[in-house]
Amino acid sequence: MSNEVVLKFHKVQKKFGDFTALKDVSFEVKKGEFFALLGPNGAGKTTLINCLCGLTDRTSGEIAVLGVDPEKDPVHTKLSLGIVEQEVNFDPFFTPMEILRLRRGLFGLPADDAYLEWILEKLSLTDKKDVRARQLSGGMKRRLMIAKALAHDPPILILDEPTAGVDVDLRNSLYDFLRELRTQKQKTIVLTTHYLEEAELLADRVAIQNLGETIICDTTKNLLGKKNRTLVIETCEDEEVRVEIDNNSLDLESIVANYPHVKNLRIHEPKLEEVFLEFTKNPKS
Amino acid sequence: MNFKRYSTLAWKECYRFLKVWTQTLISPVIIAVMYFAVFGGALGSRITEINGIPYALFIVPGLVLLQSTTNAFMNPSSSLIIMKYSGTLSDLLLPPLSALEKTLGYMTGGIVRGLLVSTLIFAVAAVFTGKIVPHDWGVFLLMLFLANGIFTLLGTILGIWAKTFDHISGFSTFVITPMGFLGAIFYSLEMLPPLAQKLSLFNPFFYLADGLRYGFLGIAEVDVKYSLIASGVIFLLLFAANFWAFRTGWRLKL
Ligand SMILES: Nc1ncnc2c1ncn2[C@@H]1O[C@H](COP(=O)(O)OP(=O)(O)O)[C@@H](O)[C@H]1O
Ligand SMILES: [Mg+2]
Repeated sequence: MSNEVVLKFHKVQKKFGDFTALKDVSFEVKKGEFFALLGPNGAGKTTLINCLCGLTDRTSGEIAVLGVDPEKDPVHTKLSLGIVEQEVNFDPFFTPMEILRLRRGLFGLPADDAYLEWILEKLSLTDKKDVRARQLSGGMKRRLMIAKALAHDPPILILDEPTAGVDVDLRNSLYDFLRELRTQKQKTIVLTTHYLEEAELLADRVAIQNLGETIICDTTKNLLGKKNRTLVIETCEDEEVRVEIDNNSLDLESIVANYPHVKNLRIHEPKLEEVFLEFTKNPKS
Repeated sequence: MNFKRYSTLAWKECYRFLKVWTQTLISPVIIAVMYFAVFGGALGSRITEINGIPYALFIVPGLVLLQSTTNAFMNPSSSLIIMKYSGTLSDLLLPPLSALEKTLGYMTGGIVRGLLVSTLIFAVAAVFTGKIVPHDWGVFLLMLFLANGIFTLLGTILGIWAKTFDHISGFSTFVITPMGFLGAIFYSLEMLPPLAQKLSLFNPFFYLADGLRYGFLGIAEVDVKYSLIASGVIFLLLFAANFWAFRTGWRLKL
């Protein structure tokens, strides 16, 4: 992972009429990162992606893709971005292979069927490549969305809630594929999600967004560190006492001294979920 | 202007109608055959000649226009509205297509479809009337291009504007079809009362039909210069409107 910033959002605002969907979004994504944008439904994750890729125009603030404002140089920035939209959509007229070939051409790139076949293979769509897209199952259509985003081989892949409503098997194989894209193809991957486990499992860094604002952006490790671990003391009277403990120094003896009848001691590791809840409940903390 | 991007969009718009060629190419031909059977055969024996031209032959340019412009119009408008319904507008917005590439890409698809329909109907007409070679190739080809271009550009603007399929079929039924029928394709202006004659001069379709009739048959109600100028100006205005719409993302961006 390098320090080169590939995506930059600075005080991005987006209004729809009187409604402010994005109030103040500011964070950066570095080259080669696996980055998660975490936020509940309605946080403005999709709106932010739409501002990034030109599906809508931001109201104010700065956005840069590899240092370039996408509104100033759309051609260059669009080539760098692969967007997997949240809503599954497909052109009912064409087959997956045709859709991918057209997509490459619309990006101005020469045909490369070997590369497209590789994507289809990786996404287990090879045997469906020549059927009408409307004949694909829900899971296949979702994978086709990913294939479409990769057709022009962009260095940055952005996935908007790619696992919402996806079964466990498909989810795990998708995780594997994303990890492979990142390690073997050196892609930067940004994923939005409202599943905390997903961010915790995959991401090097996480930005938490709520009600159109970036609340915090840090490494997953640091974020987990922000929430203290808890010492759970079970007493002989079958009571459970929870004591927050400092992550850096743990003076067990002095704590336990207060509880004469200790049956068991456990340390509860913080979950990203708790960090998330704490920050989204009380944004000013 | 990137040729690969433009040609891919143009090909996509052609491929779409070629895949359903029975609907898009055969049905206009069947309609044309029925017109010739009824107007050329049954009525033609009663209305024998207009301006010295057999009636069946007189109606050929107008029939070609009616069918080919409807098809030219439908190509971009249905393509765009289907994108809106299926949520695939992003297929148009995510790739780095410029406004010019989009305008030309959609225009090419509609014009190719319109010209294919024109060719097929001229071929059918040749069977019924025996006339194959146009009077003035230059005017003939230019008028065909302008007519199909105008209706493709109109279909693109309408497809960008429309929210539902009804908007498009409504425009086709309530504007294009009447404009076509009242554009003096089945009669000569002289056969109308004076007021109707004047009104016809404000119908753009009249100039397309009259200009094409000159190119094909060598007869015209107004000087072909005026038909060419009127059609050219309308074409350029619509082209500018298309370019502006794609440039700003009007009705396409969220
Ligand atoms: N085109 C639009 N017009 C008006 N409001 C919108 C539009 N798109 C999104 N919103 C609103 O913006 C907010 C953020 O939506 P969205 O970006 O979809 O959130 P998320 O993807 O995080 O669930 C929501 O309250 C949504 O209703
Ligand atoms: Mg969303």
